[in-house]
Amino acid sequence: MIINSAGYLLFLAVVSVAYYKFPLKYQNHILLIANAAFYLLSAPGFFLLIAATTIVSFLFGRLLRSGGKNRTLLFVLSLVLVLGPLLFYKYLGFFSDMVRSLFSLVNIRIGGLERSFILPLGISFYTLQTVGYLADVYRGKTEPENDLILYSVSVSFFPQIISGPIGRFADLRKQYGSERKLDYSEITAGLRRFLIGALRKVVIADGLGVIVSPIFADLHRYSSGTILAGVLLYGIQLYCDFAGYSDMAIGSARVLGIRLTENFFSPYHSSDMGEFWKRWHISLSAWFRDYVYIPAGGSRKGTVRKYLNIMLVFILSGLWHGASINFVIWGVINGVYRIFGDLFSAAGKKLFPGSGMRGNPATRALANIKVFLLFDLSLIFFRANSLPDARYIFWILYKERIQIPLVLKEVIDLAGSGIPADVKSIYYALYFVGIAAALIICAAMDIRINKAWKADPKIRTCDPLATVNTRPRWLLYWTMELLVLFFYILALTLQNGVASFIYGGF
Amino acid sequence: MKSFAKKLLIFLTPAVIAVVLFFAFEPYDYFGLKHNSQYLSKPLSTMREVIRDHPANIILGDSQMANLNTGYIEELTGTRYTMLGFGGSRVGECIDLFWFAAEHTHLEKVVFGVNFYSSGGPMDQGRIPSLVPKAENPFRFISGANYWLQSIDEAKRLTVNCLAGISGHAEWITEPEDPTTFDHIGVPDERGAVYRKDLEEYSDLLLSVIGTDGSFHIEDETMNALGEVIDYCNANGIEIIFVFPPMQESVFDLVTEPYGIDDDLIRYKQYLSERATVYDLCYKNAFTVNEDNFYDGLHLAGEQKKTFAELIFTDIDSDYVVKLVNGGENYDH
Repeated sequence: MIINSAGYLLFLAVVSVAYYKFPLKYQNHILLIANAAFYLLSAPGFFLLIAATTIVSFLFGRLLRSGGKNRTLLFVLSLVLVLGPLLFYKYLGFFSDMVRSLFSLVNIRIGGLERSFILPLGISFYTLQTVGYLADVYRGKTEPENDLILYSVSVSFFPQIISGPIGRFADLRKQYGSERKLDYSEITAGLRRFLIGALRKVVIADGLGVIVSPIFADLHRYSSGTILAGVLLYGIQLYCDFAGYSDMAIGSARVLGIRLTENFFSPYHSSDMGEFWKRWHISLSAWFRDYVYIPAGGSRKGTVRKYLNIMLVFILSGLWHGASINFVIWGVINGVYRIFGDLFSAAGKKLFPGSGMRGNPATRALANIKVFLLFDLSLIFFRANSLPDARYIFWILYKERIQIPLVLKEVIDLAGSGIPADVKSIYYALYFVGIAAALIICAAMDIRINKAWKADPKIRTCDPLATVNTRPRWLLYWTMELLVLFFYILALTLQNGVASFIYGGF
Repeated sequence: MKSFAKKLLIFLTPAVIAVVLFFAFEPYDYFGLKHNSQYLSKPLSTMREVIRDHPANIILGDSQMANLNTGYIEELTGTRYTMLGFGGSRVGECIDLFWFAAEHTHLEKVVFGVNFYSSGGPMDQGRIPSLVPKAENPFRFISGANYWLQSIDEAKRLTVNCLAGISGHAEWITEPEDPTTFDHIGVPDERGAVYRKDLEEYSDLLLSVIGTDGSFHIEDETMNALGEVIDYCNANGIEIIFVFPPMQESVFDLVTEPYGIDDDLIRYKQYLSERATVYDLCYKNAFTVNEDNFYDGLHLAGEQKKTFAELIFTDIDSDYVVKLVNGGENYDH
């Protein structure tokens, strides 16, 4: 089951009715059944793995409390057990390839394990969440949980299992441990958030995917300008795909009375890369900060160590996204951005004097464009199917002159592929107007989110539609609803099913 | 709760209106409410008709058969036939439609049009199996983007027609083509004048599709699949008649004879006539020699469509049709 499908909405509705119908003390039981059902419907083959990870981390959490002198050993053992499946499924092939390559340098051939494992659903996300819990218990920052049902619900909560946000057990325990009463204003807010996510994902991300995916699948077929268009559009697609998923997850959770942590605060409105990483995939950045960067010394052990730690975090972040050299390079590039940004922040402020919060709109916009382009440049490695593909993109962009008419023709052809000729003109009108309308709506919402974040960077959540006046708000609801409906049907036809999430593959 | 339910209903209103408008304008008459099926030479429409009306008598084939007017056939015979033939269909698709009809209705009579063009080469284009779930399930139909686009296109056409009517611009008005009308004598050019298609050009067009390397044949797989249809009909008391519609002489001279397809056609007719009733109109005679009887090399013009219907559906005695009844006969044309 996928969160951006009609089936999921039906599932959420059924779960919600059962959840609020049963006495409050059974809410976690209902949720656990729902989580199990969701996982069994989505990835039945890996159900036992998530169940085992949950039970192992729960048991080790309790053992860590009474471990005495062996606490460190127990903690290391728990990490091996919890991280083991992730390392096996995601990285075994990658590292065995590396070992093979190293041996081949001295003319030794070794038979390695094949790397074609199917990644268990949500493993990258729930593994980090359980590791975070074990680390918190080990460090004494949180008490080990005694209620297996409550703990299991927090690890496997179905709205966030596919792609997060990565939760902190201390936060979640408070919510799962308390009564969640039926509150229609919360349900309304949750559904509103879900609609925003659907607009981002179904209309913009999947709509642009029609153009972007074929370009990256067959780079040699397209002109340099079209490849550049693909690279630029991918920056928007990735944001809308992941932020859309996060919106839908947060919205679904809110329908059930659970507040998940925010994952995005309009990151392309950032003035520099340091700020960008405080606003992009926040739950992952915060996880690496708390469980890698700070334990590794953070900025407490001198400038060189600080920059090494930053680089370590970004390389690990790259590897977390995928076991390939492309993701490592993507991490290194972003690490370099971060370090250079830090080193030359004073010079940067001179170069973009008004790029801070108080800058004028023009310089702020320039800074935003700079951030988008820098991040987008790194995404070439993130999105390209291989290192030679990424190299080819740079080569063709350097070598071949961009011809705008050819770009337009290729992009229009890509947008309309698979559509019968007799209805193509109507399709183009709906497709381009639809995406443009969705982009305008999302940009307007992001401006509101940006304002809220600028006013208070510690803000926990933002509902950009809640404060819009009633009539324009309903007009927006209806427009968004019709756009989502049309693009959803389009995806069902053109892709023979709804598109999965980009981060679902990590 | 009431307030929430009310808001939810208000929220869903545009989607409900969109669905209602979709069904109002969709060009397949999915629920049979618009009674415009005479315009709908489309397999999905006819498959829906089978599910809705459970017809006992069906006609299968490509555009040669689809040009028959079922209303005229009903006038001739007093029996209602449902047209499942559609332009461009392959024989494999006709077979798929037959099995679809056999599954959804109690068949009594099947008139199955076959020719070298739709029977040669690969048997199926695979369109029918993908349409079955859409014909059987309205939710699968409504989840097809192309149907939405066609529906919007139809709404646009009707709106333009309405505006044309109001503003008096009759030239803006467009009507969907009726494949069964009898007024197609030739092809209208840009100025509206009707000209006859060049028969040599048409033969070249056929050759451009089937190729000139001699690889175009009616395969045993096709004949065996038709054999299964015949066996099923015989076992279930369904009368089945295979019709070879007439072809203009030029197609014989320029396509089937020079490229060895004639031998295939004879083998094809032989195979079918040994097992079922065959009405053969596809041979050189005074009717097929006359260019004026044809719109192009394969399709009849004007009133000749009526003649075609009369030759098949009445007991009229004619030199233009050979009727090999009940199988077991040796084909000698």
